Amino acid sequence: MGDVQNWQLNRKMKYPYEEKRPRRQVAYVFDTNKCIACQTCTVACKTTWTSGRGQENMFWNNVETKPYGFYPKAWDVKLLNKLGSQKWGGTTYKGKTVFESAPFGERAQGYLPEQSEYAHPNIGEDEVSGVVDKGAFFQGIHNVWMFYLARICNHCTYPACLAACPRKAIYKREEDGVVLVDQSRCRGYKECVKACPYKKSFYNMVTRTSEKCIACYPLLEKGEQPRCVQTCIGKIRLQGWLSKPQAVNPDNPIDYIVHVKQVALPLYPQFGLEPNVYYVPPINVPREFLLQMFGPRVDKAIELYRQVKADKKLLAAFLLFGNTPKIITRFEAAAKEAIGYNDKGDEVVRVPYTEPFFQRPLFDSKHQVYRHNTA
Amino acid sequence: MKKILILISLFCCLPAGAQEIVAHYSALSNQDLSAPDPQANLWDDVAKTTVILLPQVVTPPSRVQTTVQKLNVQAIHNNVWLALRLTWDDPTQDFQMQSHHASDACAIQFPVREFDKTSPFMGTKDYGVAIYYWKAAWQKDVEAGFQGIKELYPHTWVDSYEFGEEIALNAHNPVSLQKRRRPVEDLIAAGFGTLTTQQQQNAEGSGVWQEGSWSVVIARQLATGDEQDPQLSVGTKTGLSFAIWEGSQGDVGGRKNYSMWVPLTVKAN
Ligand code: SF4
Ligand code: SF4
Repeated sequence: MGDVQNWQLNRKMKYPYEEKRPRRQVAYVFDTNKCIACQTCTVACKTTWTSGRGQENMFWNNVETKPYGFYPKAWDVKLLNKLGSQKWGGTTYKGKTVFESAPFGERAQGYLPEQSEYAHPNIGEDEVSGVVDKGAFFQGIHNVWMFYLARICNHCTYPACLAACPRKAIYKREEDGVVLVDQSRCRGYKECVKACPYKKSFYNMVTRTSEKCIACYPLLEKGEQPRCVQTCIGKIRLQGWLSKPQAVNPDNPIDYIVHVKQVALPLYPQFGLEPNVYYVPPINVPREFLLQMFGPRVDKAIELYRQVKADKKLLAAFLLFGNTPKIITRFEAAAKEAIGYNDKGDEVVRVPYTEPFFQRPLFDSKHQVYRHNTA
Repeated sequence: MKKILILISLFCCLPAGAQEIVAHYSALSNQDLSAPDPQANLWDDVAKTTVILLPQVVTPPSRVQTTVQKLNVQAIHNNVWLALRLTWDDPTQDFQMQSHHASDACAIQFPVREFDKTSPFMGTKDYGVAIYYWKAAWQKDVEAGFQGIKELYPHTWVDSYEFGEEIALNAHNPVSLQKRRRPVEDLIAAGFGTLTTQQQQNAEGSGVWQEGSWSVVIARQLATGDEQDPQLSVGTKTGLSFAIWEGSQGDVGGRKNYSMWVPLTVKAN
């Protein structure tokens, strides 16, 4: 049993193994404010990795509508219920993690979903938080709320899936922190399915082994971002390498957003896994809901995000999203453009802060037509 | 937790007492043992040894309470094959492979070397174990064909599997076998988490569930010629231990009921 440092909880915590951070950690920033739930990411992932037999209901990437969307059904509320009080004292977590609250004979607090809980992957889609009163009308702030939460495996620093596997068939790669199930070693005990609080390890009934997101490692190895990131219509995603908390590089866009500005936050940090998908919280959702979901840094994150236009470097970092398939390891906030570089130092993307504005005459003399948008 | 561990470790040191299993020669069984039938008449006259099971609480994930308390063991040989019949009560027959299901199963563990030096907890590095494992889901595969999605969910409709791959199958994972000839697997282990499929599969077996109880025969040759199996002969004295999994209770892997070593003698007559 190790006593490991979890920077997201600002304290040490119990974990079945010693602290061992990879050389670099695959990490993502998802801006929830920009997601439109088009599910392009879901389909990109599905067609790439999970269109085989036994994977019919398996979505390594899913996008659920909060507060009533879940995949599998009720995954987070079930676990939150089991976890008991989840108090924070400032930025220090005072409650128990899934490892610290593990019952006797278990390595983590968890549960095994029923097959039927996977049967409706988009349950709760577009459901809003409550009923709109009769006669209510829009006055600048919506009377009810909802938002889209895109989810993949978090390639956690302290994976519960890995901790729970009695065969050590799950491993975290030293070179990039990707968490993988060894498909030749797994015997399908489903301990990882039970232990992963995010329910991102799945059982395949045909191969009789557990399978999970592989962070598109063949792409990572080529210096390219995963499929769900590359295909994202809303440009809500950026994948890169997160540095260790004590070796933050402010010129690395992921480090800048996550560590320096802390404008993107882990999902349910109180579970204790140090997940590596970081979310810009949705700015129009009630504070209490967000505090529970993203932890105590949520107010500051929203405040900063609202002012992103005034913060050139932060704006530059956000403009890199969805504009190149390449992994950006360094960026620069130049006078008029955000510039991203790969790890060889080659420029891979250049995005203007303000899109150029073109005004064209109403009559197109070349084609002899009027340009207008009414039929 | 510590207290329970101490109790358990005390238990390990206790001798198995008067309990033992004797495999007598059975002339009746000359042809039968390589294709064992758990309901064959020849078992009627074979003495039963009742073996008490304990919940596996030594290493997580574990069982806090037993889900099967005891089993009966019978043994015979015909100078070539050694066959053991395990019978235990189980009100539910669990062989489905959907994600929240677990299969009923049983296993017999043999020490590779001296049994009194071998840990019943999957052996140790120097004193390994050989395990013969039978699983209800595999019995079903053998009898009725592989339980695929169509068998589990007859109304499933899928547009295309064209680009899909079964990775574990490509990786030759033995649990992913789709054309299984026998419901038993030969394994070795040398400590927790080291369970590994043997290169050669020599054991045979068969299981039948009837009126709330399983009868499973697992048979292996005394001399298998396989270096991963302990070699036995008439006169061998060794030990055996057992494990039973109750699928309906979610027993899988280390979540099982196990026994300590029970001495086994292979008698000439
Ligand atoms: S592709 Fe992007 S915008 Fe569309 S659902 Fe996925 S994360 Fe949201
Ligand atoms: S999100 Fe779940 S499956 Fe992914 S690394 Fe963390 S614990 Fe494992």
